[in-house]
Amino acid sequence: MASVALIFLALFTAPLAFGGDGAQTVKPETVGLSSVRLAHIDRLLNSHVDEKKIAGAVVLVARKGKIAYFQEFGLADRGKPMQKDTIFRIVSMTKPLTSTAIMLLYEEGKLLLSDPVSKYIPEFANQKVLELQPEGAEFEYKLVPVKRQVTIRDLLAHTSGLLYLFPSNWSADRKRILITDFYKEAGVTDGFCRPDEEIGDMVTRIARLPLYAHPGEVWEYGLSSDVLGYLVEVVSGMKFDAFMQQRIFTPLKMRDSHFFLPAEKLERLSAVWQSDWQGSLTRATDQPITSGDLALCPSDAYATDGKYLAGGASVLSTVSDYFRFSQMLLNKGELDGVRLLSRKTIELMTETNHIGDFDATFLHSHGWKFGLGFAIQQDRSHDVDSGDIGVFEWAGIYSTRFSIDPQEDKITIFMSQTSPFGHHFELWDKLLVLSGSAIVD
Amino acid sequence: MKKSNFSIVLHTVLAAMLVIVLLLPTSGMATGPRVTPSLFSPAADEIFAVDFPPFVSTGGVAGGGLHTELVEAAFHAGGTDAIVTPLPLAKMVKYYLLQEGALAALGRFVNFSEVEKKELIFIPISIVQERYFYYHSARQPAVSWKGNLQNFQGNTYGALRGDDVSHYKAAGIHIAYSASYRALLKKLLSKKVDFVRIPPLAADWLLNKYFPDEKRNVIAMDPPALELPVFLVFNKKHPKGEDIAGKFNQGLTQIIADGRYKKILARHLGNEEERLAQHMRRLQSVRDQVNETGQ
Repeated sequence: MASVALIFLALFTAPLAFGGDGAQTVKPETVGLSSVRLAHIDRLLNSHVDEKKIAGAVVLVARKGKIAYFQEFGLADRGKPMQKDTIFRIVSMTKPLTSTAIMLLYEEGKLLLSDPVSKYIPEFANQKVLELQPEGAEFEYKLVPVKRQVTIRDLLAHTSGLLYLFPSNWSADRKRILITDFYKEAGVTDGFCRPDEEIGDMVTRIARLPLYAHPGEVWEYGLSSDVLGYLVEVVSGMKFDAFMQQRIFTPLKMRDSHFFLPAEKLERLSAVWQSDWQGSLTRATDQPITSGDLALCPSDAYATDGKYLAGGASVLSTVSDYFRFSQMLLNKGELDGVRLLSRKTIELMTETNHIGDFDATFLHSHGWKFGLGFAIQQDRSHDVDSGDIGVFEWAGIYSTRFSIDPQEDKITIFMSQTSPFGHHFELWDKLLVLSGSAIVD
Repeated sequence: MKKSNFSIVLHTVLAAMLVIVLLLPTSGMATGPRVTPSLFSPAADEIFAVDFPPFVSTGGVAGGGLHTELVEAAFHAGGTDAIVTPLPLAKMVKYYLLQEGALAALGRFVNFSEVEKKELIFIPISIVQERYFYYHSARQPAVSWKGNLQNFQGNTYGALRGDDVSHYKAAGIHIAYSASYRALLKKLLSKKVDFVRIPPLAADWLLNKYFPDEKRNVIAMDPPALELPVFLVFNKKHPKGEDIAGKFNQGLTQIIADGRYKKILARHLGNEEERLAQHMRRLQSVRDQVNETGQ
């Protein structure tokens, strides 16, 4: 009788397994994925670890709401294997979380996407745009009044005219370099190193510096999400981290997502590794990693408290937490009976092009548009196979990335902690090919 | 029949009113103000100043800061008005004054060319004293200063970018540059520099806001390092520049004479009579000098 019960139990639980951090996984075939084909991901990642291109990573593939593949590779730190619950600096993958915070306030009628930002942050009134003067002119530039004010939608869609500093490393655009100089002189940083100030201090400074272009007349990846984080503080009356905890992390049970890690979780934080992709792999020291106008401070993540709460960069999280957030988006706003946002709002964020004829080419090639915090694939006629039209995704500068394919009901998440970011494109592109070609139904 | 006509007229009027109500734009009722030109038209008479708390500041300082209050009071007494707009960078203030022909700029300007000076009217409005500060710790010997830069020989001085540091270099002092007073203090606290020069009022404000736990370890040295006049610099190229400069100067003279100036000063610097009197004497001396030389 007991053995019959055991067989029954075994049969009943056969498709389920546990991922080590409590996340339930299913047999891939039950959600239309091939175990054999997914095993190619093992080979791909193991080869990258063996060749010392990366120290380690965690990869998750989910379909139809179930995790079908969840695997850790290599090292998180010296002598410390990567775990499924390793904590990563997700940096720019903070941005979709910040967009979600704004849309929560939007759904409560506390703001409109068409609102000028100056309604809440007065320093955004009377902004100027830097215009280069013709060669030979007495002065190199002129500051002209904006044709219209920056709106909240501009910030969400990166059409505000605000820049990041680090792209000037590979740009010969004189105007960009001049704006970057303004930022540097005014102590505005990309926020990858945490300054000794409140986010509002930076936002009220950058608001009074010239814009790169008239709002709505450019798509430029920049500090817009950091402004949105401060906007959440102004509109909600709460500190940004408290708002995120109360309104997003807790309802979605994202138990390992923080702006500053509690001391007891520090041992789960991955180190950052510097790789030349040729076999030279070293653990980053406590010193900032700098390259031109790019400054990264991996050791800042070991601080258990601080002031700077960057909506574009500050969150630390795990693969399974980000899966829960991604699944909420894929479910059109709901997860495990908790509705965070409405279906219509998610459609506005992830299915609607908000940048017109511009292309969101920062991570991608042509064919990619931008929603309210996400790049959206509009057509597939380009070099990279990222999945279906309608796939939306974003990434983080320490080599973290996620992709959500609504048509195939599929989520792919990759997290590593490897610098520089540029090397990761090939690995990510291959991972998405493997994740997509594992579909067998 | 009359009643029927009245009814037709009434219905027509009501229908017309309904149509008008339906056709009226409703955007004004939305949550946020719509984007209108008035929201981004700059004020007519704008004075640009470098954000320099607690002297000039957009937020967190009562009355916009000491210098903002003095300027606004003098304008008011002179029967005119202007808005002080703080900007994050000195180069932006200079740009607006020289390139955009702004009415005036407020600050401690020292680097105008002779050609530029000819187009400007300098009215001193205050004096800012600067002192040297060092970081005091048990393991670090105190830096001493007796009024001679040679006292700092071999030490590293935290200078603001753009400062003239030739005297420091000549005295055998190493230089490390920073972009702001806050960055200077940060370098001092992290022992990357041995001493910095900051107005005590600004140091106090910055330490309270950003480094309250370290405030007691940042020590001001005697005697003061230097005093610099703060000017409201009017633009002769502005159509109303010379006229408003005259009115402003009259207003400033008036608030100095009737005690309003000293009252504002006391609110920011404290009530120590000798300190206030010294400030007033120094200001008068600079005003006399400018009246004599024209700059």
